[in-house]
Amino acid sequence: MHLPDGFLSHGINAATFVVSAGACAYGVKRVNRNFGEREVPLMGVTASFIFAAQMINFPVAGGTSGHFLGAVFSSVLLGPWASLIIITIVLVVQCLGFADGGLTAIGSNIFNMGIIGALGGYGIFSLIYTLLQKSRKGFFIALAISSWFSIVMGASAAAIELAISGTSPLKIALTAMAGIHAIIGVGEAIITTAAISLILKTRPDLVASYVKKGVLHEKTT
Amino acid sequence: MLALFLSPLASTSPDGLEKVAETKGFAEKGGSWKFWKHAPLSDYTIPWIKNEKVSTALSGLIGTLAIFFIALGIGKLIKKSPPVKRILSLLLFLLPLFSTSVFAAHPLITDDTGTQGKGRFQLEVNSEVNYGKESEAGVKTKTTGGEVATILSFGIIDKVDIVLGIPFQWFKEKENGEILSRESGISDISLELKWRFYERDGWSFALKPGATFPTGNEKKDLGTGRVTYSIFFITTKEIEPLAFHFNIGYMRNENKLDERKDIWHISLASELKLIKDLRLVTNIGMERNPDRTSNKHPAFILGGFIYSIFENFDIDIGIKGGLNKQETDVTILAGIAWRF
Repeated sequence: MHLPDGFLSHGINAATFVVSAGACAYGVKRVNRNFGEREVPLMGVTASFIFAAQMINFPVAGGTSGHFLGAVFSSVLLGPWASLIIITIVLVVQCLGFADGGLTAIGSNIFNMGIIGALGGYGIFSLIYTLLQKSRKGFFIALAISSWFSIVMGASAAAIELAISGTSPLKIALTAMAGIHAIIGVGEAIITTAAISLILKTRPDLVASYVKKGVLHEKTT
Repeated sequence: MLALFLSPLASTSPDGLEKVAETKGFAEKGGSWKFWKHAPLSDYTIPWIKNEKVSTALSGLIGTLAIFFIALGIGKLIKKSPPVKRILSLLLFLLPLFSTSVFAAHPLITDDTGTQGKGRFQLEVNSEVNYGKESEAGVKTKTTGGEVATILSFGIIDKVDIVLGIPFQWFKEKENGEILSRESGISDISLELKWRFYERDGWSFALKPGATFPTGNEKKDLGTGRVTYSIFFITTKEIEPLAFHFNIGYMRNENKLDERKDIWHISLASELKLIKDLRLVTNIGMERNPDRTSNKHPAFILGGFIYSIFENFDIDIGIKGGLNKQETDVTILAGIAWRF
């Protein structure tokens, strides 16, 4: 989903850059409030895991492949604002070091994957989690659904940006992008749910959004 | 670990976006114009390793380790530092990504007559760090400070630019080793219009009216507390490989600080093209002292380099020295300019 240089108009890139920079600045402020000794190394590990996992493309239908995004994954571990910063770091390194995603499109990529993916994905997660009364089952259902949405919403945002930039008509871009990413989103949901449940089994204290509600803690202790 | 073992085995099919771009026929839009061509590990390969799988695995490992330390470092910065440092580190983090200057510009104080052209933007991020020492009647005063200014220029028509500047400043004043004051924040935002009204045979002339707005807190010495106005007359003469710029300006320094209201500015700059992308710049100038109690006026001399990494992307560095006691002793300037 990493948009290269030249797909989007400069206007869109500038606008999303401003929004992304603002969100990151606010994110830094928010993260500062509740960051302790433990979260800092966890942030490093999460960021490198996401980077590594993003390198692994899994095949989906019709000669296309997709890869893990990890926006909801890191949101659930460290909170949505820390997740936005992690995604931003990963995108910047991918862009500068590996020519994956354009430099001029960095604002748009952060917007699509960080703001829509991480913040938006986490919003859906906490909505569903709350609706399902914060049960253990509800946690995983919320996780799977919000992971799927984070991909599809991010791809849709990219499609809308492509349409505004005049690269491709909205109808075609949106149906194609959302269509393919609806399948990639299933992969995202499986990986996120599997990875989080593994962490919950071994180190439940690391999953911030689960511990906060204290459900598992009460059960296990 | 994951990256090391699995990445070479990853599907080589194009990913979701690439596929859509191919099938819907806009894939070629990306390849034709690439802004950042200097990624050391383009497309996840190490250039000098021939074996594709080893190359991908190693570059993945390098990236993973790099990300770990970068995220760790940023996490630490976020956690510990006070607000000012946080904003600064964030700016420093964003700085290499987005900054700029056209013809002369930063680190020069003297402006040139260059405009962006209709519909074109220039984004500059200019920074400076300064240091000054004064000793009067046994009292030693040391001042350290700096500024990061974001400047956006937009060409309304070919010969007229509108320029918005947002400065972020900080400073610390020490008297005999004790901190007297320490402030930071957004200073007065400026808005200018530059009109190049004449050009012929290497000569060009421009007028630049402008105003600053009291967005800073004058009680903290950030800004003047009132709307100020200014007008500059700019001359540029180009004789390859040299260019000279001359400024004369008047500023109506309305303020709440009991400073002089009529400020004059005069300065001269030169540019010499050393090699294709590298320019040596020098600058000298003087301004009326806003301090009513002094009749000596601050004067400066400056030298620096501007290097164009790409046709539309410059970096610059300079050092400015005070020619008398009224000017700050030493200022280091650095900035970036990006035109789009």
